[in-house]
Amino acid sequence: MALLSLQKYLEVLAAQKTSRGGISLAVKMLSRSTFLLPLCGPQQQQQQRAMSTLKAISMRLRSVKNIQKITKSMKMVSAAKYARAERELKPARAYGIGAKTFYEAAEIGAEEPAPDASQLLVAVTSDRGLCGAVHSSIAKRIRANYTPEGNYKIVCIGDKSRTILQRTHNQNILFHVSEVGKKAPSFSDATAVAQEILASGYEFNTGNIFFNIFRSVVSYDTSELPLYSLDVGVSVVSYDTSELPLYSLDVGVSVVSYDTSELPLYSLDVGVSVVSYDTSELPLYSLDVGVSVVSYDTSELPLYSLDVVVSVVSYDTSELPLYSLDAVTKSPNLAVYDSLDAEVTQSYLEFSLASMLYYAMKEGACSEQSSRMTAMDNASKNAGEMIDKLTLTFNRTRQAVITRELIEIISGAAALK
Amino acid sequence: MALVRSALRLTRSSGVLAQCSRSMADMPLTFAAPSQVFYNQQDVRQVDVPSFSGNFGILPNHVPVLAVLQPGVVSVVEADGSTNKYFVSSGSVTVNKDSTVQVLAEEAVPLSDLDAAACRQALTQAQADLASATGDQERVEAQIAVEVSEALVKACE
Repeated sequence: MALLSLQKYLEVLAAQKTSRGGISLAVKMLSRSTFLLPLCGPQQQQQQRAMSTLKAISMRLRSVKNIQKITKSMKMVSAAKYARAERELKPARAYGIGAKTFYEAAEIGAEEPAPDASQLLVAVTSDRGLCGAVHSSIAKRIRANYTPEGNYKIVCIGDKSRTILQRTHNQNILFHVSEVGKKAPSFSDATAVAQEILASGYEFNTGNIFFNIFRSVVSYDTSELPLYSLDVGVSVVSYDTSELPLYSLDVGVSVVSYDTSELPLYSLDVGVSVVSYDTSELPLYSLDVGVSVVSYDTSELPLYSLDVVVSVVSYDTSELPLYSLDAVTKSPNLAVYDSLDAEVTQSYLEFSLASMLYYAMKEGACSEQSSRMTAMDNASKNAGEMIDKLTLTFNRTRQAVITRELIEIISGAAALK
Repeated sequence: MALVRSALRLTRSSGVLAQCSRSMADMPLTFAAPSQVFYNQQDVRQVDVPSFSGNFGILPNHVPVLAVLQPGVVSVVEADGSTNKYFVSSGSVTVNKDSTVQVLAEEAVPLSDLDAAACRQALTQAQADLASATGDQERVEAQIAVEVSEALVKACE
């Protein structure tokens, strides 16, 4: 490509010379220079080096462009999957909260469990990666709270949690479930896992399901800044407050500007480029407004163009307690429940286990897709930056090559005169 | 001073009373299937559920209970008196002491969505499967299918 344009350039140059009445020396020189080239050692080396860098840059450019294409399409795919996952999450959430209510209302597990009580940990992840720290935050949470010597077993849903945990907690893994994440989790998937847990014969007193709760709207307050509300995934969120300026934030699209009559005009570029994950409960995100003010102009009101880098985590790693039949029947608050026989309680708990697993899997799937969407968006953006830089270097190098060739031609022509 | 205090106490206790009487009539119902929510903590008047220990109705301030759903019809009497009926395959019912009710079904559909002919066909198919079932698990599965489709046919009538 570079060579072609070089030739074209020279041809144009030659045409200009002939039109001016000169001899088409340039073309001749070029053809002669190719003959001459093998003779002049160091010069040729230099030229070759320039050519080879040009080639290398163009190859690198092409590969980065391809990577960007891939990450872009992966973003599209996960955006579609995320939309579906979020739609399905709404009923699943009501279902899961319904399943959880009994344990909260009956205050089961309020008292400290015995120190030697056996536990069952369920890590809800999937087989697929490239989605930020969704899976590793689950594994990290387990690793931080449970030493490999403890009296517990882990059920890994999805290959990711297994690969991370098996290095340190291999002897604690009860079984793992693979083929998770290709399709949206269904209730029958949850039932299958629940059934496997019950059939495994492992007797546990209490347990925990570790999963990522999807948080769609992240809103926060800082003392120096007006209130922002970000809806990750939904393209444009605008909201109105009487005292605060109206912001319209678009995550993913580069620049959103808006107008207010009395208030300064902001143009916000919310590049969710830095994603930091935090497994602790408190901070969901961190806001970096140590921003680069790109352009700044005043007519009557200040016009800001801000580059706000917001790191948004759309999910929160969370735990859902599990209780064995024993733990439930021993609970003092169960006495208020009427006409309980062992069979009913057992069936109830088995169904409740499946319901809670289903809920956790749905939340996890939605978190994963939204996180993958952000991750792929960032990757595309980074690739875009790299492409810009490479294109610039490529053009500069090409220019340098052309300039040098011209110098050679002109000085050659001058020598012939 | 004493008068003010007693007056305060009076208003406070009447507030408590008012709260009590309000919670008497409330029965927030959550009725959901995995992919569909019918009621999300919505106040209703009465819920009738089919359980393994027989059908029973739930009114506000029902004694706390845990139950397992049987294939059958759940009917919900809403606050305005209208009744909605749903077919459920299985699931669980929880009535808590704060009068909240959770009906979680494995599958649930409004009764109006059921096709009587298809239900009858499913029953014949299930009976045929039961007859040809070999092995314990297969037989139990077929038996469950028969039970569910019998309930379906009954619900359609």
